[in-house]
Amino acid sequence: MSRSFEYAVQHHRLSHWHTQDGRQELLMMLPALLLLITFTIVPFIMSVPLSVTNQRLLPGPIPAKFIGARNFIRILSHEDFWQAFWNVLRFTLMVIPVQCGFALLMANFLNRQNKLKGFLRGLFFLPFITPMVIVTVIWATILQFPTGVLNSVLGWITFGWFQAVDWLGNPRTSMLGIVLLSAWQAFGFQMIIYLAGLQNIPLELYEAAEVDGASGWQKFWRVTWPGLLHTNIFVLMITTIQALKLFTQVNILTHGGPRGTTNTLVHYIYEAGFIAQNIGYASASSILLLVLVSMVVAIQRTILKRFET
Amino acid sequence: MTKRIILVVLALTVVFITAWAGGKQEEVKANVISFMFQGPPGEVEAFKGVAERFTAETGIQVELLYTPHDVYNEKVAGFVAANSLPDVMQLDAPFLCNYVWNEYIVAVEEYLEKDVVADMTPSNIAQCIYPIDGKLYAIAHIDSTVLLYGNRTYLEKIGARIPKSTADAWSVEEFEGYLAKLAKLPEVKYPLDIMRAYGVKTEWGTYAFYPAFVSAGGGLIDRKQWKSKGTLTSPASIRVAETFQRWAQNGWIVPASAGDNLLFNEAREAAIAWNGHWMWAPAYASLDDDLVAMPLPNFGKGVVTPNGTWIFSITKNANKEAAGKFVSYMLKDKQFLDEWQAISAYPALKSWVARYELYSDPKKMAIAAEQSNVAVARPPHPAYPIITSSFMKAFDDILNGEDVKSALDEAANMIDRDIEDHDGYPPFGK
Repeated sequence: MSRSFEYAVQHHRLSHWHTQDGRQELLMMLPALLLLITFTIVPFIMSVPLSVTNQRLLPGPIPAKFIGARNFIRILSHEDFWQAFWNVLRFTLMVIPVQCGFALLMANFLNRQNKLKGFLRGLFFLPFITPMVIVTVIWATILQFPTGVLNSVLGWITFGWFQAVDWLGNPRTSMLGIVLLSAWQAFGFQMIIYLAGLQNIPLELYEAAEVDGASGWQKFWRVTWPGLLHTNIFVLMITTIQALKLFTQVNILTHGGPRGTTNTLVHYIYEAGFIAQNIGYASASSILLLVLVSMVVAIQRTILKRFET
Repeated sequence: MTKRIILVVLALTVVFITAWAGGKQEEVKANVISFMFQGPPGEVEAFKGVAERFTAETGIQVELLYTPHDVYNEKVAGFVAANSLPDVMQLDAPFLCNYVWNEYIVAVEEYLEKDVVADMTPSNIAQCIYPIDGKLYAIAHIDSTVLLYGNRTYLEKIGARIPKSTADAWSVEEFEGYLAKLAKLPEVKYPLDIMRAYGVKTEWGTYAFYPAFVSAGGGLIDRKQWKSKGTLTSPASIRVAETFQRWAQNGWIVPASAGDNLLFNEAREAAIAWNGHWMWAPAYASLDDDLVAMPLPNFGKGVVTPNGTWIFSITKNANKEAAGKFVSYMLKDKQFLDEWQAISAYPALKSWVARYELYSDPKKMAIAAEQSNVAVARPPHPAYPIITSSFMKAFDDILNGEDVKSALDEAANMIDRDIEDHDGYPPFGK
């Protein structure tokens, strides 16, 4: 599958855009491109000159002035900024096995269904299309201390051994609470991708494994898992990029969390720009965010390239 | 091919028309004013009612813009950026200096009826004045205070004395002794509720706890030099912060996610609440005579209490006469004041104080009224937004176990840096 994709990519040269097909494609992409340029690219380009000034969010009696690299120096020497970076890395490392593992489990389960497949697929995808704000409110109740759903259920299953935990109020467990919430909300996306990947594994391989007397686990480890190589790489990269942008849950539930343990890079930018109303500082932070995210993704790509044959 | 192009263009047109229709601004009519406010459901109902009565009497429509408390300032920023501030805007009193300095609101006295202005109590006038020119930039019908609410049964069980006035208040050592004894009572889950459930974005943290810092001899910022370092980081301030941290580490303070009604819920899990005057109504409804109002503890140099509340201003591009008419009408409307009375609002209009029994009853909230004599306003300075957000973050971190000195240093640093970045917010000086 990837070989034919690469073949197709090679044919998308500049000359392609002059053909009738190419022109149609361009026209279809135009609305999305316009939105992307207006709301993502142009503001980012605007933030570059802003980052070297002390521009406030709103106009005031004192005009903004050029301050050179002062914003950048302050950010890079601010403990909170590096804590936020470490937090998103921590979040990413935790959420990938939880979210993708659960998604793969559900995809495997769905793949075996025949009658209820469509219904169950829609059901599992439901959290993903629920607005994050609503998800956050639901999970605020679930994670409540001491009598929230999670604490009660864990206490009940373990016959009272488990002591209630203040998930979001305890600096040690706050990020875990956010991970659970995020994994629950977004696993549907990875599940759909895994479903597609699973359906691309030829059934003959499974039949051959049966004939050889393979157990369920061996079938998974020897047939399914290797067959999902490219899917896994894709899911890994997509989830990493999504995870590094963590914001909404943190903004609503923990505001950066007890002692900054759930602070994220985007939340740091938001606080600087909209709470402290220092747009120059926030612009500088967003440039640094781009740099850091690019570095992480580049490193990941380099490592993963070894696996792609 | 042509068919496809037509379909695309048609789709785009539908999208754009929907967006345009959705964002269409209302035409500016001469007899419509907009009113932005926040508040719990009881207050919202009161505003709705008085707006309807005002429209019925004068024909001027009032567009109600309710905004949740914890995103209020961001909403105001949004309106400023869109240059469409509401005509009448409620604001939290300590933010007055910032709004006037940024020229969002105008002096109001000429647009208000004379008798309403004359009816303001001294603390009310103080919260509405811009120190640079001494003019009134807002008006209100209420003020506020924070006090201790106690469960009388629990206090009697541990043999605590009930203070009768602010001169008689518990010292912080005495208070800590009682907390330790209350912690040992089996029915008491948490001796003290300092309303951590209100969160770190609602101004509660600064409002409720900076008086303790001032009472000890410290504070948020030096009010002559306008420097935070040296005041917020003074030994007195550090001592106060360490005290609260100790109480939190001992497990004596209700955690944030446990809610805000532990004093008066069915299980009566908290013994003492450190909360605002607004708690009286629901607490009394549940505890009745078991509820006792007491002054805040003395942290060293005498009891200090906070004041200031949400006040009404008129914005610079407003329909000022209509706005002033509405505010005057609202503050003289008896039903409006009665509805606030039902939620134990703290009166700040002399005529209202005279007929308001709750705050003159020594068995009820007389102590709250007396506390206005020892009230110290929050720093009246345009940098207040950064002062409060830095302090609240530091205080919350400290309660969660952060090193006290470095948390306060970081907050003072943020505040001083902001003031320096603004060249001292002239004419407030360097």
